[in-house]
Amino acid sequence: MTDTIAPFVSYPNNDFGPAMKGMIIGGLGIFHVFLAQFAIGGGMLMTYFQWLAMRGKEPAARVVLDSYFKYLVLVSFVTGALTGVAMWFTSIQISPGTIGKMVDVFHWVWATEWLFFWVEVVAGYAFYRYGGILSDRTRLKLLIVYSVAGWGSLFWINGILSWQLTPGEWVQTGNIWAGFFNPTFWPSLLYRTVVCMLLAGLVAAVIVNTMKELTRDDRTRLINRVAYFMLPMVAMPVLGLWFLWAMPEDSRSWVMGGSVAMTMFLNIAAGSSLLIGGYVVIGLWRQKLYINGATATLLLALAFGATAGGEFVREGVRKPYSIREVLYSNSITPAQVAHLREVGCTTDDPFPLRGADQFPIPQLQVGALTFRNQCNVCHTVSGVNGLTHLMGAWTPDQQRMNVAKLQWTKGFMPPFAGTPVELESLVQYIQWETANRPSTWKQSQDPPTISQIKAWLDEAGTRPASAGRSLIGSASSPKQPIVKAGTP
Amino acid sequence: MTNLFPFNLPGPTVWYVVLYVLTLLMHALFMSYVLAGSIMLGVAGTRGMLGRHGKPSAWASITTILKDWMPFALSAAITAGVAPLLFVQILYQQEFYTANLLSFHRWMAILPVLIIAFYLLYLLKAHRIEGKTAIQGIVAMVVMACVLFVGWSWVENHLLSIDRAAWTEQYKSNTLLYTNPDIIPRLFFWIAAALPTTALMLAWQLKAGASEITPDDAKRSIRPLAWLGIISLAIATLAAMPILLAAQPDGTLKWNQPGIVLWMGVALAGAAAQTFLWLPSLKGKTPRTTSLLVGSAGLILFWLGILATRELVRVNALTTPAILARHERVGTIAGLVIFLAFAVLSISTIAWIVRSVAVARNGYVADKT
Repeated sequence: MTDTIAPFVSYPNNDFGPAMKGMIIGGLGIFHVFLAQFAIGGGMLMTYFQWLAMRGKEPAARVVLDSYFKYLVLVSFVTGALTGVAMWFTSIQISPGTIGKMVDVFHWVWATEWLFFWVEVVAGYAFYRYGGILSDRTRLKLLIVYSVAGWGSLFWINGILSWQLTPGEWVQTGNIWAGFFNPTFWPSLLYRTVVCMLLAGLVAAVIVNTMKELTRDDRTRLINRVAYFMLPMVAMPVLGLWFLWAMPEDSRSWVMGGSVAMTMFLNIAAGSSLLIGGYVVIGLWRQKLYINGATATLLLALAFGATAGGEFVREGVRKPYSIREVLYSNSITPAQVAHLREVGCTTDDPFPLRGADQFPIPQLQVGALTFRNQCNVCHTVSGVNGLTHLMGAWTPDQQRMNVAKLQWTKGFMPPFAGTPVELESLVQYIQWETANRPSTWKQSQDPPTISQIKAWLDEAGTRPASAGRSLIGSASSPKQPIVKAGTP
Repeated sequence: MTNLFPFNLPGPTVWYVVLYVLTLLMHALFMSYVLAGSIMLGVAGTRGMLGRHGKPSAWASITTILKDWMPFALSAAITAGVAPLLFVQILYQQEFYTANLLSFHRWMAILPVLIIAFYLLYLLKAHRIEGKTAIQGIVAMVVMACVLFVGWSWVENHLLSIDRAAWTEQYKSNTLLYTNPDIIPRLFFWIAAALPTTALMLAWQLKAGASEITPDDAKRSIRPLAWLGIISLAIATLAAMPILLAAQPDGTLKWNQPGIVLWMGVALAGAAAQTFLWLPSLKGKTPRTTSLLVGSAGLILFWLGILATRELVRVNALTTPAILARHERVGTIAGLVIFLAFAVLSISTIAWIVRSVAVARNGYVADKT
């Protein structure tokens, strides 16, 4: 099935001031992932504790179970669920094209995940409200249902998220199960499962320390039990390496030194995990040490850091795509790039420029619109990741060439998707902003300059850097199909 | 266009419209409980009726149940809301996204506001503030304000999404507030429709002895619920009129077209069934299970009629060949079988949970008595 050039749908584009859009969704995403993973691991830990209590292996487990569950319900039921919905809403704010595509392709998967939410909520609330009057067997069954439902929701969403990085054979066949069970699906799912267990264990260690009704011996025994529960984290290095191995080569190169930020965040995640793992395996499991509330909280904070680092890397390695081989970060498809090079990215935008009267000449308005449609999703003008900081010191020709050959300037950037005139307008806009927005500005429409930009654009081609240099210019015709996807 | 809506539409569109309406119906039931419940608690709060000890009143049992069950109802409303939120993105992706983007921070504010409402609901039932009338009243009123804000935001978002002509100006003006004369009547209608829904759900809870309400207290509370149910049904019916008359300002859809008449007829039949349930209870008679079942069937019809009519108006306003073609493309994507298989499994699991809890609870109550 060959993809025709889908129309470029323009959405109203909002400005987050000096904050980069990625910071908004990244911040919320980290918070949500942390809470949701804690809720999933919490279910598993409680099942384990219920089993311990039933078998008489650990009488104090029941006390913790009933106390712990309240926190779990209070945190995960609404804050976890609402931040999940918030992820949808925020994704719409940041990149409607991306979330729209994800919903189109995986709506039945999401609908199935919704069923799991229901089971989780009903099982959780039944235990929370009636746990005290249920038999031990029913309690255990209920907790198993709760855990399976919680983990099931991870199973479904993991398929969608990992598909964004490695859509696998779906790109050729359009088969959603080929996309769902993609190359990074299993390492990602298993890694996240271990993280869930780790987070739940660390929270339990904090809570056990707050419970005055437990003796010191009770606490020590419980913490040692929790250490057993967290032991699967010894598999994290292997799972992490499996994930690295499964990701596309160019993505792997960003975290292996190609992008200093991504490399640094990967190291933060790995380093934090190593520290926690060392403490759990050597201190808690081997030496059966006691962990006090302060230390447990510190480890939990480290785990939050590791989650943040890991999620940053997961988002970052997809660049220049938001859905690999299908959609660039700015919601333009590879097939649309060549088309927009001909017709322009600002031509059909129905939404006017806000504050258009602040621009001294129309060319700057076109430049601002070009920025809005192509750059705004990852960059600000002068704030975080601001173009005036990144490009302000370059000469005009340097700016023109680097933007025209954007995917070769930086491998994680998408190709420029506009006309030479729009590119020149963007360059003028950056210069004007760098010059602190003077009240007058000289129009720049020098034909040789435009011709030079055109030559550079043609030389760069419309393919991403990951397609390889041998393909430069090979897909510059808008008539040539670029992507095959059996999806809308 | 309006005959036998939605079955006059192409297959994939019918499928998604039906799924949207059915899942929205589920959401509407829990949403109503939250919306009307927060208003009832808020009003009780302003009158100093929360946290007061002393002689039992007809409303005391109702506020006790509401305080006890509102956090769960909010969780359930949010969970139930996920599916219609998914299907609306299939049906009207560009329109829904555009409305979200145009309202920006104002729209996104519903999320923290809901979180605040949820935790305040837990605070409301906390022992720590039991008996503190003023604090409970303030908390209840803040919850009510939060829920009303969310309701208003949804109405605003819906109207903005179907008002394509307003988008460019809305964006250019950079205002986060969309003004439309239909917002207030629609919000008023949702509130009016939520009240009888909640009254019926409370009647079930009173019958089941929820929150340890005794049969005597339950009997005392049924009469005000019956009045609430009947009066709010009448108000909801009246409130629907101006909305229906303004169904489509451009004249392409009028209230007397067959599709609207059909679905409004369904809604009115549902309202009649509920009225039938409440009439004996006006004299304080406790409704039988059969009556409650009839009333509940009426409630489902009532909401089905309302939501189908609402959808008919939206489909009429928005549907273009391009949108229908999009539904057809999306409709070819696999996964439905998995969804249906897990739907059966999930419903069975939930039924097992409810049954297990009911058996345990009955045993516990029997032991106590």
